[in-house]
Amino acid sequence: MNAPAPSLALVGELTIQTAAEEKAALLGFLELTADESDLELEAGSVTELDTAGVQLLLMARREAAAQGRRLHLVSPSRPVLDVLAIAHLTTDLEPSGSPRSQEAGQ
Amino acid sequence: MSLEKEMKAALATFVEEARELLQDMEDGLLGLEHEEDPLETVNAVFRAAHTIKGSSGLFGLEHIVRFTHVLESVLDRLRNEELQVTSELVGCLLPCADHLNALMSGVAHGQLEESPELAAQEAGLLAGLRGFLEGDGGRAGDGPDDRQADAPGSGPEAAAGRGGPADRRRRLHLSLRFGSNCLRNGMDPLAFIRYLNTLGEVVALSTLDDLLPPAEEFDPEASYLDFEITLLTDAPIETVTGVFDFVAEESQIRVLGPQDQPSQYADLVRAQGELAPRVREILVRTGAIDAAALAQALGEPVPATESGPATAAQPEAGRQPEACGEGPAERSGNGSLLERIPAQTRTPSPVPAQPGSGGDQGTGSGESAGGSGSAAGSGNRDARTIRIDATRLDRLIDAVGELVIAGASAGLRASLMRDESLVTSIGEVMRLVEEVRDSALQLRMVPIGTTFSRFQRVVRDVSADLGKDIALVISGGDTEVDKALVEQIGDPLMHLVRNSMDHGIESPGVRLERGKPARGTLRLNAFHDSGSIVIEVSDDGSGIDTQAVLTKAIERGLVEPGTVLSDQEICQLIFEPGFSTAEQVSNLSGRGVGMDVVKRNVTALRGTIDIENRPGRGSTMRIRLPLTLAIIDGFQVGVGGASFVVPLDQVIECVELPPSAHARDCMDLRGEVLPFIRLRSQFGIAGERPRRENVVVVEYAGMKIGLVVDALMGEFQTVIKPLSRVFEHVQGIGGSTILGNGDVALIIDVPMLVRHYGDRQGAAQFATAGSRE
Repeated sequence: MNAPAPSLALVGELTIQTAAEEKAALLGFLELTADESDLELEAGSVTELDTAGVQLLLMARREAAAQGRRLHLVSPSRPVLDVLAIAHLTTDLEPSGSPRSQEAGQ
Repeated sequence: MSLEKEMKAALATFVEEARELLQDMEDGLLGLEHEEDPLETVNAVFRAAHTIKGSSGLFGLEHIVRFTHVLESVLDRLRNEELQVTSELVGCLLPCADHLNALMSGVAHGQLEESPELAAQEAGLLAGLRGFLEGDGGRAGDGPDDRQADAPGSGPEAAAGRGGPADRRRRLHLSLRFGSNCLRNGMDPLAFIRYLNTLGEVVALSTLDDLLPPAEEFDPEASYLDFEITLLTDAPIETVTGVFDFVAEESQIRVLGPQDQPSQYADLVRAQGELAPRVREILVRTGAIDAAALAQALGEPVPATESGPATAAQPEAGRQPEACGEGPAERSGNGSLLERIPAQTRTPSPVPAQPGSGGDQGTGSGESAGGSGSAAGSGNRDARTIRIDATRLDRLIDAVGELVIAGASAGLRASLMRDESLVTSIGEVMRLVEEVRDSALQLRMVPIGTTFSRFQRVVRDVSADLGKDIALVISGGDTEVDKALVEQIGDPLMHLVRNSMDHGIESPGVRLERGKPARGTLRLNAFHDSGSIVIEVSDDGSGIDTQAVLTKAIERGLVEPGTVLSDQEICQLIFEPGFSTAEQVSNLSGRGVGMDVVKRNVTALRGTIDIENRPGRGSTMRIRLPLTLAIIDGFQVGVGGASFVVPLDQVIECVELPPSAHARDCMDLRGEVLPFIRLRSQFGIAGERPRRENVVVVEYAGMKIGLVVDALMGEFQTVIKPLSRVFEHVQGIGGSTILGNGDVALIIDVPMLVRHYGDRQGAAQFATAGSRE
């Protein structure tokens, strides 16, 4: 768990405005790092997060889980934390959160 | 802070939409009296009021909610046919719409509380509205809230799902299924939840991501997340449901409180389809309802001990109502959604779960399927129109304008290089650029009908004020105009309409005396005509008394006594500053401000205004405006070393100046006399006249003149750049543009030249006429 995990830095807004690009970026990241088990999303520079962004993160995390991998949100910025708190998702997406097993919901 | 920014943006959207709704409301109210079966319109008006109320609640605009609530109650009575449509009622409701508009303007300017002036106005309106509430049978306070206030003791049944006494904090359960288009429509589900925090305390919240599709089907702009919320609040359920009015149509929002029967919770669970087990588990866990009571309400005979968590997450579970088994009820953490997976595998649920058995559960899931189907349907509708920030559009148009210039420059270079294939490909690029230009400009085009229909209200109000009976007839409402023009033409039109009603159309008595129908007619018409849009305001009133106008003009020192003027010229006098023929100054027009302002506004839009006078029978004010403000097809001509551009749609043809006409100011054009203006002398350009000169024949408002130039240089597209203020008094120049080679060319203001010519010619005619007498 201490091996340096590949990390993708999320920058700027993570909202409906950017959701399409971010989806591609996240999936690309997952594909690129197919050999690694632990992944990190560096969220310190996210300036804005909305529902579209949240569900993107959830989707990415689930995709990773489906491959038996873990995706952690690292050092989330204030706006990210605020939104996660509102959605009561803090324990899910924070790096300290407990590891997730695969999720089957379709 | 981003939250603040988000709220601000949402508020702006709210104000914009509220204004549209108010417009709908006004249109509906105006139509009410004339409709045989007004029920549909009443419903539309009611919905508009209701939506405004709900959205205002979402933003915590209590003063608007308060006022709209009363308005809504009156409309509700109307809807239930407890009230009849009378002009008195409409007369009471219309100012309410105005008042809401004023409140919205306040909100747009950041005023989230009511100002004292508006509050005073509101008190009067409310008194009027209450009159209609207390009407027949003493059924005072028919509004939903009032009902509760009147009957606080009415059992839980009465309050079920609607709200209850609002005196203590209750535990409400909110089940939110947002429509998949919410995000796309600018509604962020989380923003609603954020707002809930201001209504009370969100003690539990579960974000359900069960409906997130796999990556390849995941549409980043659709909304997939669902929420189950427990809210501790003292706000009435009405207020809480009102929060979601904005999205109510395409979403399934349910709010249940302690007064609701277990059967309602059971309905909620049944309607959830795939999510049923999770929702059920959440309901029980958060204490919204007792597990046994829910099981009983779901028609499950006896709590069994078998557990069904394994079926919970399987896709077929949703399709099969029988699979409404309990999800795991043990929770850890703060209700985060993924806690449940480990929980599922770890322990069997302590809450007994059993397969559902009631046949009616099938109906539940059927409903939810129907619901999502209709959401998809509305999605298609939404996809056809999108809202764009006007500044983004302007940026696009600007960029296209630059593209046009750059393209012209590339074309010029290509032709200089005499590279055939390059010229061909640039030609193709230019064709596409033109297409892009046209579509970009098309984006800005809106039908003028919306502007016209606003006048229904004006005509109604003003004719009532003046004691006249006036009908407004609108035609050509689908004529499209540049949005910027539409916005700027509203005021001038308003003045013209008021002027026609005030001065043009006679009072019913006078009309009957003159053998006209008592009811006057005001006509608004629009059509396209050679690159211009023409907007006409006509009336069948008395027309313009040219003699009176002339007398007044002489009195005011606008015209020298003894001057002979044509009727047309006399009519134009009414546009002079400080001129008014009204014998009585009414509060509408006749203060001598207005008509000159109209003319100034129209001129500023590169338009003209003229009057067709039919003495005794009425008059027509005709505004002629360019279709768009930004880009024109131009025809480039050269005089000496200078280049000029004539708007192409005003050019009729080009001919060589016949030698016979060299010394005169007119020429023979196929048997017609064509007067011409020499641009060289008009603009004082130095240099010898070349041996051969050309004439560009231009037409404006039915008048043809020639422009004598040295060289014809061909067509090209051009972006109009306004001249700086220093040059605003230069006559005959409408703007400037940059040519492909970087030179500056001036754009000829044909209307101005034509008019200028007309004036001179008119003066000359009268000079000769006068000398003959």
